[in-house]
Parts: sequence; C-alpha cells; structure tokens
Amino acid sequence: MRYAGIIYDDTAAAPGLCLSFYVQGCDIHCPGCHNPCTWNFDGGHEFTAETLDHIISGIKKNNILRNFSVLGGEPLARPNLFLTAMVIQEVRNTYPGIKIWVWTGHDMDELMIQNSNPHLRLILQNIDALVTGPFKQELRDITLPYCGSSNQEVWILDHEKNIWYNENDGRTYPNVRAREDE
Amino acid sequence: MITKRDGRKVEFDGNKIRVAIARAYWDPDYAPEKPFPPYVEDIVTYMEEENEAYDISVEEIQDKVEEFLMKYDPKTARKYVRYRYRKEVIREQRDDFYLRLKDKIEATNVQNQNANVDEYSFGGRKGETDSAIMKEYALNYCVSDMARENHEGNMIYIHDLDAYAVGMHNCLTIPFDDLLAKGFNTRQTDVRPARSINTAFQLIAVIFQLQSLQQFGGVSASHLDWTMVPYVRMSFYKHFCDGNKWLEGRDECDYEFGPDSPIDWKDYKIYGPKAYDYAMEMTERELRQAVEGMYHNLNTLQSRSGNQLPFTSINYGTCTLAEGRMVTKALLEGSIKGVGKLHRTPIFPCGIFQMMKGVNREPGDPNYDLYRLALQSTARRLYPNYANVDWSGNQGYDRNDPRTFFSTMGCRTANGMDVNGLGQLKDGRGNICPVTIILPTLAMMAKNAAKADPHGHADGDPDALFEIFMAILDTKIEQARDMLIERFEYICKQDPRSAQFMYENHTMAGYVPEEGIRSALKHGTIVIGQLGMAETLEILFGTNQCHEEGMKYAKRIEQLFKERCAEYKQQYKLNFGVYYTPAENLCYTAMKKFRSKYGVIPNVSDHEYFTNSIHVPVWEKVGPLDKIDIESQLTGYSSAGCITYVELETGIINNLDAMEQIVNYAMDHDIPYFAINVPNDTCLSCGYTGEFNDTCPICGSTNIQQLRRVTGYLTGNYKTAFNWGKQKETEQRVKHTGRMET
Repeated sequence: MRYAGIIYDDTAAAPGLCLSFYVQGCDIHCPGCHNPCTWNFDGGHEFTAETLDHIISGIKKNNILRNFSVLGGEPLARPNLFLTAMVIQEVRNTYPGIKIWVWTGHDMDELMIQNSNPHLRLILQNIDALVTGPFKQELRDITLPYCGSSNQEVWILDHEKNIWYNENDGRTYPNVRAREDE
Repeated sequence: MITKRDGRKVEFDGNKIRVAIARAYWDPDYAPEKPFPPYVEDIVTYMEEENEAYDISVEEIQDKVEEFLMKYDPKTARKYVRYRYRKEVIREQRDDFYLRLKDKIEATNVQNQNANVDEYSFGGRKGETDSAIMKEYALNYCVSDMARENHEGNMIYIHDLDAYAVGMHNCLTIPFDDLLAKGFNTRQTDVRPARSINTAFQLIAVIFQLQSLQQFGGVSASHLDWTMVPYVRMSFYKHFCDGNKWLEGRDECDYEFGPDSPIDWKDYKIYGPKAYDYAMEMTERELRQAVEGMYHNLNTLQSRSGNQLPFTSINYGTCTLAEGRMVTKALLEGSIKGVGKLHRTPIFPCGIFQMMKGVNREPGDPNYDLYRLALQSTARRLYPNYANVDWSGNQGYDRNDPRTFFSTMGCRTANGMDVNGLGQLKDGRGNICPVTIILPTLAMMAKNAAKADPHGHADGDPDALFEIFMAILDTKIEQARDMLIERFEYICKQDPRSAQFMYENHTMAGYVPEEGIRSALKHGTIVIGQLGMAETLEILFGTNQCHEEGMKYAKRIEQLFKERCAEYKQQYKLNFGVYYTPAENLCYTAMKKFRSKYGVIPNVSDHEYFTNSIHVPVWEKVGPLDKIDIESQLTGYSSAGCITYVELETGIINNLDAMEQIVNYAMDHDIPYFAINVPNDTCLSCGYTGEFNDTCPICGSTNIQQLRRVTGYLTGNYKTAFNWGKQKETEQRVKHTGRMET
C-alpha cells in the first residue's frame, strides 16, 4: 500500500482546518492535473502503521480537532479502495464527530453504479462530503470553492435520509446502502 | 590669479597665507593686529612674485608654504602640515556627506527605509535629505557618547534619529471622543463639534492628519465604533425629523425625541413608522458614504513629511449598541469593498477588530456576525488584524469604559498600565520613544568573550556561555534605560509651541500648562525593543525557540527584560516596557553591519535580515497553530507591544471556518495582537485579487500590484516599496498551511 503525502493544516480541502491525506496512484489522468507525480501506483511512499498513527494524532494536534480529507491520486481507484476505506474507518472510529471529505475524479453516476464493491460502500457510508468529477482544463476556474474546474461538484451527505445533496443546484442522489451480510 | 579647489579663479590675497600660518602656529583665533614672525612676509612676497608669472593653484601655494617653513621654522612647519591635513579630512568628510545628500536629493540610491515613503518624489527627496542631516546632527550634538557608541556599534539602536534633535515623540492614541464632542483649534481657525456622522468621519481624517504632523510615528483610534454612537444618533434624528415632516405630514416633532435618542428606541417606530424607515435608510446611506470618504481621505492625503500618508489605525468591534454595530459593519463593508475604480485594498487605515469574550467570540454573542464579517475582510484585504481585549496583560481595565479596552497601533505598539495614574486608559497616550537591543551582536560579544576566557571554562559549556551573555545583556538593558531617559528628558525640554495642536487641544492626556509638557509625556511609554532572538539562539546554542532547548533560554532572556523594565518603571516613575520592535529597516541594516563585522554564519547571517523580536523565523516549516504555540509562550513578556502573524493561502476566502479556528486559537492562547497574512496580488487591469505573482489568471494582464504586510501595516507593491532585506524576508515566508509532507 502506498500513499503520496499528508498536509497537516490544510485550509483548502474541507471547511475549517483539515488534515489532508493524498493517496498514490490514479487511473484517470486528467490533462492539466495539479500533481501528476501521484499517478503512478508504484510511486510515493510505503503506507505503514506509523503513517496511520501520524494521521490519527495529526487530526487532533494542538488539541484542536480537524476535519479529514482524502485526495490523490484517485482515492476511489480500485487498487486504492482498501487503503482509503481502512483509513476512513479508523479515522471515523476515533473521531465520530468530524467531517470526512473525499475527492474523486469520477462523477456521481459512475460511483453509484460501482457500488457493488464493499470497500466503496463502506467509504460512501462513512464520509460527509464528496467532491466529484474529472478536472477539465477548458473549464478551469480558480475562484471556485473546493473545485478546480466548473464541471466538478460538491456533494454533502444527509446521514439521516442517506441521500447526497448538491448545495448549488439542489440535485440529490440516494446513497448506497449497507447489505444485510455486511 | 589663484586657481581655487573648485576651479574658480580669484585675486591673490597675501593675507590669507598669513592667517593660515598664524592659525597653524599659535592662535586659532588669530587677529590681524598681532605680529608675525619675519619670515612670513618673505613667503608672501615670494608667492606674490610667483603669481605674477602664472595662475598658481591653492595646493601649490600650500606646498610652497610648507617648503619655506621647513627651512625657516621646522616646528611651525610640523604644525602647519597637521593643520593642512586636518582641513583636508574635514573637507573630505564634508564631500562625503554632501555626496550622500546628493544620493538622497537625486534619489540615485533608493533604499526604501520606510515602505510608506516615496523616495523618488520631490517631497520624498527633500524629506530624505533633511533626514540625513538631522541624523548626523543628532549623533554629533544631541546624544551622549555612550548612546552614540551603542548606536554605531550595532548594539542598541536609536529609532527615528532624524526626529531626535527637534525633540518629537513617537505615536499617539487620539482621544477622539473629546475632540469630536468639543471641537478643536488649529493655527488658522477653530472647528465646531461634529453634529452628524458624515462630519464626524471627515473630522477623524482631519484630526489624524493634524496630530500626525506633531510627532514622528502613528496615530490611532482606540474604539471608533463607540466613538461614533452619538453622531449616528444625531444623523438619525435629523433624518427622522425630515421624514416626520415630509412623510408623516407633521411640521414639528412633538415628542420627547432628541439628537441623543437611541435609534432603536421603539417609540420612534410607533410615533412615525414611515419616518423611521426613511431615517434608518438615510442614516445607513450617510454612514456608508462617510466611511468611504474616510478610507479615501486616509489613502490620498499625503500630508506627512516626504509625501507620506499618516500611519493611521482604527480599533473597533466591541460596541453592541445598534449604532456601534452599524458603524463596525460599515467599516468592514467599506474595507471589503475597497477603494478606487478597481476597488483596491486600502493601505490605510490599519483596521483592528477587538475580540472580546461574551461580545463577539462565539455563535450567539451579540457581535459574532461582525466577527464573521471581519474574517471575510481579512481574507480579502489582510485587514482587520485582531486585538485581544481579554489578554491577561491588559488586566485592570474597566469593562464599562471602552477607552481602556486593549487596543493597539497598527504596527503593534500598545499602551499598558500607566505608572502615573491613568491606569489602562489608552486615549491620549502613546509611545514617546523606543530603542532596540540588537541581540545577535551581544551574542557574538559573549561568544568571543568565552573564547578569550583564559581558563577556557565558558568555551563549549552552554550554560557558562549563557551566563556571560546574560551579563552583557543586563548591562545593555541598563544602558538602553539610560538612553531612553536621556531622550525622554530631551523631549521634555521642548517648548509646547512646537506641537501647538497637540497641547492646546489636549490630544495628549494629562497636560497641565503650568507644569510643562512633562505632565503629559510622563503618561506615555518608553520602551526597550529587541531584534533577532532566533539568530541569537543560533549563535549561542545552534538552535532556536522552535525547539524546547532554545525556548528555555528564550524565556530566561525575556524574563530579564521584563524584570528590569518593571524595576525601572517603579524606580523612575516612567512607563518602561518590553517591546517586540517592528524593525522594518533595522532588520536589514543591522544585518548588513553585523555581516561586515562577523561574516556569513550559517543560520545567523546567511540571510538578508534579522528575524523580528521573538518571531519564529519565516523559513521554519511549522503549522499555524504550532507557530501560535511557540510565540504565545513569549508574547506575555512584552508589555509595550508585539504581533503574531500566520501566513495563509489566498484560497482561505472560501474557508472562513478555518480562519475562525486559527484566530480563536490565538485568542485562547493569550496572544495580544494577531494578524493573518494572505498574499494580495491585485491586477491593475481587471481588479482581480489573489496570489499570482506576475500574470493575472483572469485577464492575462501583467500590470500587477503585489501587496504584502510589513510591520503590521500594509504597503504598496512590495517589490518596489520594501527594502532589500524585507523583500528577501517576504519571499522566504513559508505558508503555515498547505504543505504536503512527502
């Protein structure tokens, strides 16, 4: 398992201060990507138990609780699903109250179809927000909050109703449900 | 004819030779009736004959005189040679001095000592020339030998030396409540009290100008939202009376309203609902325009010497009355809106939002909404900064008197507890004069002393080395005290007519004409500043205060400053204070001097500037909260002003929650004065603001203004307005967020 890096006091990846975890490896390769060095699944660093400790302790460094964001690379690429799910579950178990954001180059339609994967289901149930869609150079807009190009979207999960909600245009998506056997 | 040094030709005058020899030999005050030795006439006659043959030069005459004297009177000859040499040195010094003045006059070597001065402008060139002369004069004729030695030896720096000789003081928090309520006098006229919010804001700009001409430093308003309450009421009442007449059809307002009635008095609404709505809208409109007028005035009236804008600061944010809230909102909205066609970031005034528990700190507090608005303004405009009213160092303030709430000058200078009876009152008080101890120089002295120790005890033993350093520091703190007293007394000797506006209108509190100006000046602060804690610790221990070991020593150093200032304060009944100096120009010039003496030392003098006071060096990779953790352990020692910065990304404008967390963290850690730096590049073609260096990402223009902060204030384009050291420091500032640890 490999990862690209960690930002301990990020102000750009979720509301409030957040710890950002960058996975290594991407299967989308958007032209104009910010960090192409995160594309190669064999690049980055070895993820160890120590890395997880850094994440867990980093979130409450200075006795201030941060939010948590997973970026990449592509956190929801098949080879990364296990690591992403595992880290998110650990963080969620330790800090039930914080917001967890995931940034993916896939869009909602793709994600909700792919939901047969148990790791992906686990991720989608444990997080609070998704930033979706590939980066498109021709739609680049540096003024957008949380998005690099105007086709990208921010989705907030309503945990009670288990639906994804787009605050910009009010569209919704039903979230995946846990299976009986999980 | 004689050819003079400057090439002019003049008639031969033998008497000049007589006088020169006479002065060299026996009498500096030679008078012509005194007799000469006989050979003097021989010399004069010889020269006269020579001169008839050709145009002889002054230097040739002097050579000949020298030859003659050698022959007739060797003793006088020696004196004459020395006399000639002395004259030459003086001439050279004068030439050198004039050459330096020429640089200033022609703006050929612009150093940007003060980012607010345009050294290329007529006023700037005149001002800088003037300043060079005044500095020279002060060093030669005003200060003691001890002070001069410390200043020139890069040990204790005398700030604003050019204002020394005339005896100006530094800065002042202006008692606007009184000035607006009572009016004031100027040399040519008197000004009536303000009777509307519009006038009140105009007078704020006028008074800022007037006062800033009486001193060399900044001017501030300590609680502008509270100050403006009566004038909002007056305007509202005026508009209500208009509405009452034209909308409600009543010729007179036959109710007990008056110009001092609160605008949220419910009877207003019941008595004339239409008039109320009208008055509310008109008042808000008037206020918006008044605020906009003030911002423009304070960014355009270059009334100070050298075409400077006055350094103005306004504190606000704690007034929960409807009127005060309205003023704070208008000030913040005006700041967000910006000035000019492109809505650029106002450089002045420096806005300071006063954070206070139960007032604006948390959701549910009456002014929490204004705090959020302040954050929005900071993200976009770098102002406001944040002053901590609950700061433990401001103990003894009166919760019911906003004039005692913690407020600061934009740069950081703050008024603490007055030893002469005014308590925590801020209005009418300011800093009288500062000096700054250049700690790294003392560290080198300590290190060299340790090496020279014949027993070799201290060399290699950190604690012994530290003892030597502390002994030197103690001596220097004491000398700093004497230098401050020396200047304070000099300032006290000035005639009150030198600052008539200030004394006549009592903008400086406590002035009793019969007692002289000392009665006012004694309420001000005299402060011992410091520069380069980080570099000092590197010299002594190879570490800095970001590490536990370094912090341990840093605290002991600050403890000494604090204890000594507290002792002096009681002993001399003067407001000595520990000051974390802004050192805008000093950080660079002190480094240049240091390097020429000690060379390049890794982590000490391998950069272009010394790190300010106890600041974490700009290149240290620490998180924003880590930086606060470190600096908050040291800010408590400073009673006369300090500032803590955090560097953030421009994207922060989309994440006010993160900013709020950071500001709250600073307040919770008892940071007195906190500021957030966000790169502010403005495209001068389309007005877009962000971080993009040389090309606008929106319109592609390369006409860019890069605003950065220096010493608490903003300035114009940092690449043209900052001195070289500050430019380098700015470029090396590491963002405290958004680094990927790979």
